[in-house]
Amino acid sequence: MTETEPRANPSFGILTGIAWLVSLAVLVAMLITLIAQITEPRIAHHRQAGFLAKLHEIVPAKSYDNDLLDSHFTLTSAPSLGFDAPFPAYVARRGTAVVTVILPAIAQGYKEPIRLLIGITPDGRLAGVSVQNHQETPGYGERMDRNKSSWLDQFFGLSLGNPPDQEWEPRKDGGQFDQISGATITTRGVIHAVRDTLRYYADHRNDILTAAAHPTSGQTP
Amino acid sequence: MKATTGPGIAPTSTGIVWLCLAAMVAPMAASITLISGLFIGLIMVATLLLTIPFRTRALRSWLPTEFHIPSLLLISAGWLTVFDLILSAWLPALRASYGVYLPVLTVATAAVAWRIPTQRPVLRTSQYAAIISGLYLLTLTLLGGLRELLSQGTLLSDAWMLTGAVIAPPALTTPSASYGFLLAGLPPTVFLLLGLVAAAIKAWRLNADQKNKSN
Repeated sequence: MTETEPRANPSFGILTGIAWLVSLAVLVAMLITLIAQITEPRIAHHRQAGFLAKLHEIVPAKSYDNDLLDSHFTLTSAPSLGFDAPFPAYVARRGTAVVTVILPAIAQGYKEPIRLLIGITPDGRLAGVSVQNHQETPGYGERMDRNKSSWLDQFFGLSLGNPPDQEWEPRKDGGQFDQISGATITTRGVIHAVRDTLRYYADHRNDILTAAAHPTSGQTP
Repeated sequence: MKATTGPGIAPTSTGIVWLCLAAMVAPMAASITLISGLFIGLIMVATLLLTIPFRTRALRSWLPTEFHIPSLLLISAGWLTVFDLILSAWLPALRASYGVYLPVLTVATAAVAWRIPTQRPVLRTSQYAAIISGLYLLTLTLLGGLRELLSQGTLLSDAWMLTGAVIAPPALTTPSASYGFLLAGLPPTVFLLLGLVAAAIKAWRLNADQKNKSN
């Protein structure tokens, strides 16, 4: 700081300012901690409800009779789906029969990864795809929102080989899938993630169905 | 408007107009629907009004100038975090859709709070801040509504988020709504609009100056 630069009160030094900033930070942190504790139970409740709503986009509530949030099982790492560590999957059952297995997958987004939930019936057909969360550019990302667009519906009923391997691409790249206009990377990322999940399911079908028959119950991870 | 004088960084009337325009950029980009514009505007009003009390002359007189901006950033970031938590708890759908834009308001509010001319009594400063943030609210809501109409062909399509519901009822859309004017929903449109508004203000001022001269 030069002599010419005026200051509010030269008799108080940098130390006063630092002390003020530190005490302000402590006060702000205390306020945030207090509010966080008050809001925590409600936020946890909404998070579970929100996640269940996402699962219901894939398996309608009437199609199964187990406690979906409570029926998860752990799969070992699957680098092709973006998981380097064991990850949870979910199973919807009616009685003892598996209706749908729901696997998470991480798709390549424009900037950030897109977290998907992919429902597969025991015979390997897609029951549905829903986006758990994404950070795509506002305006593009909405096309992946089931409430605003039917873009994700085009995956329903497809399986590995239907369409053939080389057609799991956006139309622009010679594939058979509609594109989110202007968002090729996002479109391609989601399509490939869905295809890779089907491949993973095909490769590990027995392990997955065995694990799905005995899901662990307990707190949703 | 009379320009206030002060040491180096003190606000001037032109300074605050341009600063307000610049601070507008991030909130504007985030206002993609009428409701999101209203939401971002309201949060900005609340944060600004809660930050202004820390701009009193008393505080400024003993706190070294270097610490003014960091303090304001800390305070506005703190309030925004509090709002974020409250929204997550009581308006989860609104938070899920537009909550990601809250951090961009930190710098915008801190900058406006810093530039607002402090007056005696403190209430006058708060009135000034209320007028500025009220105009922000109005502009963001209008621009958000306009973008929603252009890009989706809907209006108030996300009003249900204000009820606190987690699951969306089907939104009302017109058949022509499925293919809107995509560009209007993307950030560039708002920057173009901001440029046009700034140019219009500049032209108006030049015009006014010339009239003054000829009189």
